[in-house]
Amino acid sequence: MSKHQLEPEHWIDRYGDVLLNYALLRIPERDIARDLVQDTFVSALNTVDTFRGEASEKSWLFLILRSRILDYYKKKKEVIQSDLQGQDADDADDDFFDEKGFWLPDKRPQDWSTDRAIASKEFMQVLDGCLKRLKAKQRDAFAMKYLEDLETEEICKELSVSSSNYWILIHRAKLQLRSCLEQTWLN
Amino acid sequence: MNCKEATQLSVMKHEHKTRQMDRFRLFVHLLLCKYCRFFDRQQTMIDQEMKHFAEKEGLTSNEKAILKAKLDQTT
Repeated sequence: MSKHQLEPEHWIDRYGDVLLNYALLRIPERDIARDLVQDTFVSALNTVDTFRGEASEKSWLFLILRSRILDYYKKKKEVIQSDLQGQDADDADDDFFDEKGFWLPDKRPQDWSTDRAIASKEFMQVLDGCLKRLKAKQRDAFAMKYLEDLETEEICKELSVSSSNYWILIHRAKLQLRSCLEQTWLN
Repeated sequence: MNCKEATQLSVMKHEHKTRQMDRFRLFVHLLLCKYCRFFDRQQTMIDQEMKHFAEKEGLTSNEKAILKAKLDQTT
């Protein structure tokens, strides 16, 4: 089995943007997010000896950044996961669906798409705004899924949620995100 | 199947976590319900746009230059 290699000279060009975009989903203050990304690279460079080549370079850097983000919140003494308590409840869906589980008339999805190969800057801004309106835990799940490319099982472990709660959380997040994108993009 | 279950299955389908039987039940619901069809199609779009989001420019070129200089010092 071939082992993964580290190529620090390419780190910033390859991973600088995605690591910062990830940090920004989890920490709103840009200066702090950027400093954590910087710490991640410096700390990675200082510990290249510990890299065993079992994970990819990208996963390894993400692992370091993730622990930096946790440390940051620990220092701030904030309970990251507290703001979702109760929000995951299944009955929280009742503002999209009627009592029989069918779309409420004003929540029915409309027929639209971004319909192009490359994302426009404007849509990225709309997406950014809508992601910011999600609950912190939902945003964390999105960051791990789409930016860090973690598997569902790893995300559950990382967020300390059961698999069934994960599906409720991500279902709810996708309903809200889609609805926000539709409202903002079509207007 | 109602729309709440259909959208849940649609979300799971996009993470390849549905059983064949559920995929078939969802397929039938989507044939009959255009709203869930829009939802399902837009999930594919959101997946694609999130990939663009991940790769969009984060650090400015100035910040990258500063960072590179810092890493050079570290080595």
